[in-house]
Amino acid sequence: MPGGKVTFYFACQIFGGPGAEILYPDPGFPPYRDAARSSGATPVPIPSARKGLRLRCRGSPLADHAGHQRLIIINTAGQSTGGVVSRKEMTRLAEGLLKHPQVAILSDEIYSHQVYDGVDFTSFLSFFRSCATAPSFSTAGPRPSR
Amino acid sequence: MTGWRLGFGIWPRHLVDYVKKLITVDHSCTSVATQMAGLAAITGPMDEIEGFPRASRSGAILSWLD
Repeated sequence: MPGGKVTFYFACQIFGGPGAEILYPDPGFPPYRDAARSSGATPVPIPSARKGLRLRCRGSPLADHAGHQRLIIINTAGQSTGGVVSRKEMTRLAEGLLKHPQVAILSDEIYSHQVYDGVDFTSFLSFFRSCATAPSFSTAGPRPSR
Repeated sequence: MTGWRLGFGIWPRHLVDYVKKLITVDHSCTSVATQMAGLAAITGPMDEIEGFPRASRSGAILSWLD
């Protein structure tokens, strides 16, 4: 692939389309929103912070949008906040997804090797084999992040 | 390798055929030169890379920002 963008762009094309909602972290990497929009889907921002994404899977946004959501983009470590999604938050997301099997996950883990201060990094692949990830040689240095 | 545009995606098996079709009409492939550079990067010496994260964390950029 020519970098990491292609994978989340393809995920938006596959799972998006008119009537669909695609959740993306905000503030975050600006092309997420544009990739979602290019498919005809409605981009829905999820507040992100330096401490990582907060997804309230047992309440909104998953439950509130369950009929229209097709894809959730998560990004850990986050660009541009550097926030890492905690294992606890990942677990809550995984549990929530079991109730909403129509929702796919794109886990952008391109900065998984750039986590500091002893913070524990958790890959979403450790919960589900059925998710797409978007690593890159270019950003992670001269070797793939996984 | 910033700017080389070399990455990869990990997809669920049942989506792979769809992704292949998208690749064909979207970008076909990365250039052979870039693929060879990536191969050299992961099979060559890692000395510089091992020091990269530590240098980023404690290095000039953060201290400059502070």
